Amino acid sequence: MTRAQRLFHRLVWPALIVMVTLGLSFALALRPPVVGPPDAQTQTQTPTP
Amino acid sequence: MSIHYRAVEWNRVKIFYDGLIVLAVATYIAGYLILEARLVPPQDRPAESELYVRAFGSATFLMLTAILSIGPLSRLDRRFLPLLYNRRHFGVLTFFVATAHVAFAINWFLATDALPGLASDLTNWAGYGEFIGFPYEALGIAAFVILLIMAATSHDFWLSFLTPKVWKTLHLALYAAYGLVMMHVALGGLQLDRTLFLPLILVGGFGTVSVLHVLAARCERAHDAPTATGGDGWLVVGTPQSIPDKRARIVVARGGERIAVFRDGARVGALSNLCAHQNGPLGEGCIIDGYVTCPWHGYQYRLADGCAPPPFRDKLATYRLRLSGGSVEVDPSPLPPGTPATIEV
Repeated sequence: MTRAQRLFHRLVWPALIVMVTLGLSFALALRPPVVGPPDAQTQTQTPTP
Repeated sequence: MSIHYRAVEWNRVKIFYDGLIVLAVATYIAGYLILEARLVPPQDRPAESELYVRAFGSATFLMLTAILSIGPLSRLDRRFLPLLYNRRHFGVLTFFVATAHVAFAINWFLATDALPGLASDLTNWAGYGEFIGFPYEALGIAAFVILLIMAATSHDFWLSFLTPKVWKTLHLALYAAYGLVMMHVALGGLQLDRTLFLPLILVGGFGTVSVLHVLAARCERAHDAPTATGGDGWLVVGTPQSIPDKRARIVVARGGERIAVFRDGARVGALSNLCAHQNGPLGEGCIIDGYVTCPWHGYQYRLADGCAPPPFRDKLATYRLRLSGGSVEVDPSPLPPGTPATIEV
């Protein structure tokens, strides 16, 4: 590899590690809660006109 | 480089490795499809397309992880060099698997009548300002375009046409593609999937590649110290016997330029450490059949003048040498490529 390519490798990996670690952590932490189907009891208690 | 081109350069070794890679990828995709179809049987056409999207998508990610691991593995252990020799075909196969992922994704959008929705998502500029809610499809499209450009320019014709320096720089965009794929999955599939599979392959894959690159960089740093110079600026290599026969010692000029000083019996010659093919580390190769041979792809050069054997036309820069006080010394200023410059020791 040329000097410039070696320098690029040394700069790109730390930057990529920081960016992806932050991105992945936030993406995992900010996941929306799972919305399950309403259970049977809730359905029977729903007031009807 | 060759004086004429073939569509695909295959030999017995490449056919073996390509066959092995195709078999491994096919086994992974078939295994994924069978296992997930048993655990969660798809009920309709969109669910079926989604299954294929995940199978081919995860295969693409794992293949990119493997490709990015080959470089540092070869730096750390020479036994991985055969994988480097076959890396380009592996890269093109990755593009084909990514294409299948895109095709099944389009099929899913068609099956759910969501294609117009995709267009409005991609042009909803407000979404680009959010983190959760970012149009993750745009990240996938950008990564796919990079893979397309890399696969389209992977042939030796483009390497010759663009020059190795430009070609290699262009292909460093693979790192950007890998980062884009990571975030495409993190902001897309990972937001809905609650199994451990996706977090595990993302963290495990990226962690492995990162650790390997950091280790390889530490290993490389050890070769960066400039070599001691004599009074007039010539670099001191050492006694002729300190250069292993048929191999090289790499010396570093001020500014970081690396020079490979080879010994072939009683003859010593110095060449640029950059192979003319893909800028491989020539000094880590050896002399085979009288020719300096690059460890990456086997490109060969005469030690005497840095010229590739006919009919090839590549030439490397050579360096002047002298024997001073029993030590071999090299002038750090390169001579024009192809200039004879060996000495007898």
